[in-house]
Amino acid sequence: MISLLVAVPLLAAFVSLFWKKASDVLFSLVALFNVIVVLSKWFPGVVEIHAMGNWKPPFGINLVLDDASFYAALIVNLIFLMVSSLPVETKKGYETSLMLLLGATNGFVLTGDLFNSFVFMEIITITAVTTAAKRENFYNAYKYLILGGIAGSFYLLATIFAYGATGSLNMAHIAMVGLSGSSLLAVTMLYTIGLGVEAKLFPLNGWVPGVYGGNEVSPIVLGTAVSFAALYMLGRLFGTVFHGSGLNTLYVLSLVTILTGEMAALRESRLLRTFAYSSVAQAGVVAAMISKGTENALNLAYFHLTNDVIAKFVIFLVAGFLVYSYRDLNGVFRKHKLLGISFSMATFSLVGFPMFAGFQSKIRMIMEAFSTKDFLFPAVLLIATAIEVGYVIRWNVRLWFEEETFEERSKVPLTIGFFSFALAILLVVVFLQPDVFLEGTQKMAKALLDTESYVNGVFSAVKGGM
Amino acid sequence: MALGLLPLVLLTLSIFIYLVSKMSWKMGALLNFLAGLFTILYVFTLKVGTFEKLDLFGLNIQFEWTNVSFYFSFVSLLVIVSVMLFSTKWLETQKYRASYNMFLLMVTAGSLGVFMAADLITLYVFWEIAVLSSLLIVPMEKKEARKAVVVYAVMSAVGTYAFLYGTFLAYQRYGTLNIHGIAQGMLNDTSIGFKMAVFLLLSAAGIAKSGIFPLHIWLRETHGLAPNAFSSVLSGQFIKLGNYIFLLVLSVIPSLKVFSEVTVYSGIPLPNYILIALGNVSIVIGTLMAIKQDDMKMLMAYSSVANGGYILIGIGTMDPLGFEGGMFHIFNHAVASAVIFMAFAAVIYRTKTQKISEMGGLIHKMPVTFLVYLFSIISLAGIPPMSGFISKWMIYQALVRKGMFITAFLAFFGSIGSFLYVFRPLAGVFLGQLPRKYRDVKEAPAVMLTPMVLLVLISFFLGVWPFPILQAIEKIRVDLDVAPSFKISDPENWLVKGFAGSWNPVLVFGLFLVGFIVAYILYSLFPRPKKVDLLAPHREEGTPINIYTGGEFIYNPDLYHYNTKFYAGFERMYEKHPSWEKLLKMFGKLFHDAGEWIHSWFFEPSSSAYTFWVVVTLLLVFWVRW
Amino acid sequence: MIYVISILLAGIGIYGLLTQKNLFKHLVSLTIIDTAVNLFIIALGYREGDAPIYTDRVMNFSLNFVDPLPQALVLTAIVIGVGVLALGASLLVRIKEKHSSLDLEEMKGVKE
Repeated sequence: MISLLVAVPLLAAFVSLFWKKASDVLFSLVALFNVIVVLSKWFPGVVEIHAMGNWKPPFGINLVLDDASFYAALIVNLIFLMVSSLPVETKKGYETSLMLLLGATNGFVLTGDLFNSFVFMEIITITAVTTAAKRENFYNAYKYLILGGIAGSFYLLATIFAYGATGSLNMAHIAMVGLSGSSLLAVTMLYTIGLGVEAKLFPLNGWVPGVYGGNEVSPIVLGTAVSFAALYMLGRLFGTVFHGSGLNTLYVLSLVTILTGEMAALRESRLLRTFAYSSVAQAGVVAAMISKGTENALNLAYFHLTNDVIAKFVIFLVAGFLVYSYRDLNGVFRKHKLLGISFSMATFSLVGFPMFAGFQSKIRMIMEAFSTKDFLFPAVLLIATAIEVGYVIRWNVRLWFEEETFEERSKVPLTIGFFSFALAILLVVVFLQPDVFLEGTQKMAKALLDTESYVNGVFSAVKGGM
Repeated sequence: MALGLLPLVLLTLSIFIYLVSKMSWKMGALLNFLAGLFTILYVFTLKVGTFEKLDLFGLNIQFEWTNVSFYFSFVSLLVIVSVMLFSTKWLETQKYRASYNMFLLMVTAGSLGVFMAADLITLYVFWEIAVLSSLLIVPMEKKEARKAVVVYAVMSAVGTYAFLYGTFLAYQRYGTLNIHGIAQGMLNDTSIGFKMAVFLLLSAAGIAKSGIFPLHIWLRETHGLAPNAFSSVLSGQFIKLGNYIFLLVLSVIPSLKVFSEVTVYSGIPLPNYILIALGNVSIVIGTLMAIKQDDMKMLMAYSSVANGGYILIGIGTMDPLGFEGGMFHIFNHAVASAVIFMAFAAVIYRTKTQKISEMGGLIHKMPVTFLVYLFSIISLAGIPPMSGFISKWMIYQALVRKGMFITAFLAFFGSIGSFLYVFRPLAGVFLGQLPRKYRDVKEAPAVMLTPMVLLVLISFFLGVWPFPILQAIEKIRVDLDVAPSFKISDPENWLVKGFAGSWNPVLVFGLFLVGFIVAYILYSLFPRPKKVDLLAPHREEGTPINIYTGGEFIYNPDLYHYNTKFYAGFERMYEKHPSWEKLLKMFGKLFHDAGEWIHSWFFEPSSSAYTFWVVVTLLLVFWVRW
Repeated sequence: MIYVISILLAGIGIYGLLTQKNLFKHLVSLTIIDTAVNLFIIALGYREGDAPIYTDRVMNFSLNFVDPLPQALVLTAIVIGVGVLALGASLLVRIKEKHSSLDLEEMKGVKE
């Protein structure tokens, strides 16, 4: 059953190559199907696997569904469902690669085998580059390809070293056998760099503004779903497989990511790119929390990531629509009050003003950091937030209050307006009742750290279920 | 009704009012006003000492209603309700009426929440709600306000986040977020360095919000460029949020006892003294900068800086007279400032300009506005019989008694200076020649005059009979254990007791009244001056030409009105002063340039550069970890 | 010995990425790096002995043959490399169309 999440989108992608007219409908159907399949397995609690080709683990490749991968798969598929409901012009001609991306991201999240994750990561890179090239954004997409290719090579090297040290490619098996000494060092460092490119860590994140700022569909998909998958894998690898070693480097890199991302955002004068940098900084925040390694820290990291993903979806959706409908963005929200309100609410959630979800995650993260006597992270986070206030307020004021040059009002497609407002309301709801997400992320964090039950679950399931 | 529900109800009501205002902004403004009235009456019925725990938003929210809460809420609501009444007519000049109504009510809700908060997180939540709402009102009207609001937002953020950091430092050490719990923890803590750090971090929010040096530069542009009636709220009420923080940090956490080992000067602990020093600098900067301003509102913004310094000094001395003086000054400054800004708003409403150099002689056309403005500046400058004198007198007493001669000198200087700068708008706007273009200006509408007159009357009444307020403050002082045995107000003998003597307000007012009556009798007995139309010789044939000045006949009386570069001689003395504004703007630019550098090195170059960074990271990581 | 060649190749590839100005050479360097990594993987799997085919000698459980798993991995990795190369090449065609040159210094219309 789990493998359908990967197989069906791949199949549909191939079909859509021959049947181009139906690709849009196909995409929506596939996304809907995926969401239904995921929802039918609501928080399994135990580890479920699907052994490909019925080869028992640790031989062969198996897909693993536990609480953590369930949550990640849920978020990814829901986002793709929303993307598939967007108006046709947004994704015209790119549905095939989006479906491939959907399949690959699901695979990346669900896999229990290191080499399999490499393959899926490369597929993600290729399809993401394709998506990034929309609206003639070729040069930036090309740079992303090169960097992604190098990252893939590092990821492959790390996988091979792990194989060389333990004799297996299966995550559960490696977790059981355990690496040590210099091989552990080499593997964790190579994975940090390999994943770091996708997870936007400093200084490997040069590609982000070009790719996110290039068209209206790539940030909505790449900045939300793919980022979530990458940061999930970070937690999975460092939490479950490597039992929490190699985290110091991650911590330092992520702190620098936060500051450089925010400072670069401050000087940016184009809307999409500004929030691309903000994505970088938020990824840094999440990575810093992941690198703390405790259950509570992981819980809050993914809570913050969920809030960020929702807020970014709204921001990139509205920004993408506006940037390509108007030449001059001054005062544009006066023409589109609903979009403006949703956008403002999402940016305020990003900063962490009370009444929005971001406040909950930031406050709890600071509390958690202090309780572990970490005085540096809260200081960095608060400085970064102060900088964020600067550019968020500047953009909000410019988009609401500046004098506008006269331009015809473009009609807002219904889905864009609906999604942006609905998600903005969701942010307020999460503020009022954070347990809506916290319960889920709690289970996810627990599952990520619980190597034993992961290993037991993988090995005890003799025949993977269909 | 439960205590904590009040701000929450107001918050939801604000959204409802937004929708109502979309249909009819007058209805919305009126609803706002009624809500404000209800709140202020409700506030009187709340019992002191109510404590409430709510489990909202997944956090432990604690509300507590103390004497301090009541006092601050009363002052805030007085200003806000007046402005709401004022807005019912003034709002027609604005473009975003519905949002204005909504955000104004949200500011109210946030402020009330701050005053009710019993633990620091609740305080932070409502503080941010109030700040966010004000951030959205400020850029509503003028073009330059849009840049100013970013400065405001960032400075407020700096103060607020320092506050947050301090909160969690204390939480991690003392295990509680409750204010009393933290106070208790600090009393038992022996590490002075830690306590100082927490103290300074917490007061950073107050410094940023009250406009104390070094975080004062946002006041000038924000107050000056905000929508005019909202400047009243900003100056009269918002600043009080900062003062509340100071009160918390200085008295609710009893700084005298907590820092009793580090006293610097006649029993004042070091952190208090740091704050007092900052207050001193604020007074000097506020006064001197205000004297220079041409824009009415920016001038009064600097006045807020200076008065914030007074309040801080008063509370910081932790001396009973100083404390009560500071607290009373909170009230006086709130009322006076609100009335002054509302008067400005009324004048601007009628004349459509904000520069003093373009106005003049409006006393003939707007006499009531002139009177309320006159009484407010008398109060602000600290001249009897208005209430402002009593608060300043008490602060002076405290300073003299503590032997803080530098501070006392600066306080006197500030007081004199304050009369200089409040007189400038008076002379420039109301006295002198009436420009021809304002010949048809009418008095401000009654709805706008009413709140101003009411507030001035309250201030006047309290100048003659200050005992109701003084007793409320005294209760606070006794609660907070600041020399509780020293009694200041003595209603039976009509005396306000100080150290060097007592002040009998009724007697003094009586003397003033007698003097005024005598002067009025003389004025009506002797012949009146005759009003001469300066342009008469040019308009009617045959009018004798006997009006001239400087050997010239008068063709354009407008030019003879003295209102530009009013204090040029005085200003020349400190013309070349170092600019703190430039320094802080330099910091902003520093971050901006750092961002530029980061961008050019890491984020935009070609794929070669990306590879370079990957390789460098790889080598670095392996080298460090090996 | 093979490892040295592999690292040398990777070094050449990285050098190419760092110093070349033509975008196509970047793509070629990336492919060189991919090849180097693939070579490394295969070299890892080498054991003194036979090829990984079941013969009589192996049936005696000598287990002394080259590890077949890396070879399978490399097959997949080569295919991925080909995919990346194809995508890169098509992007280069479009870049040449849009910016009229593939040389970093002569590209027109590239914003910094």
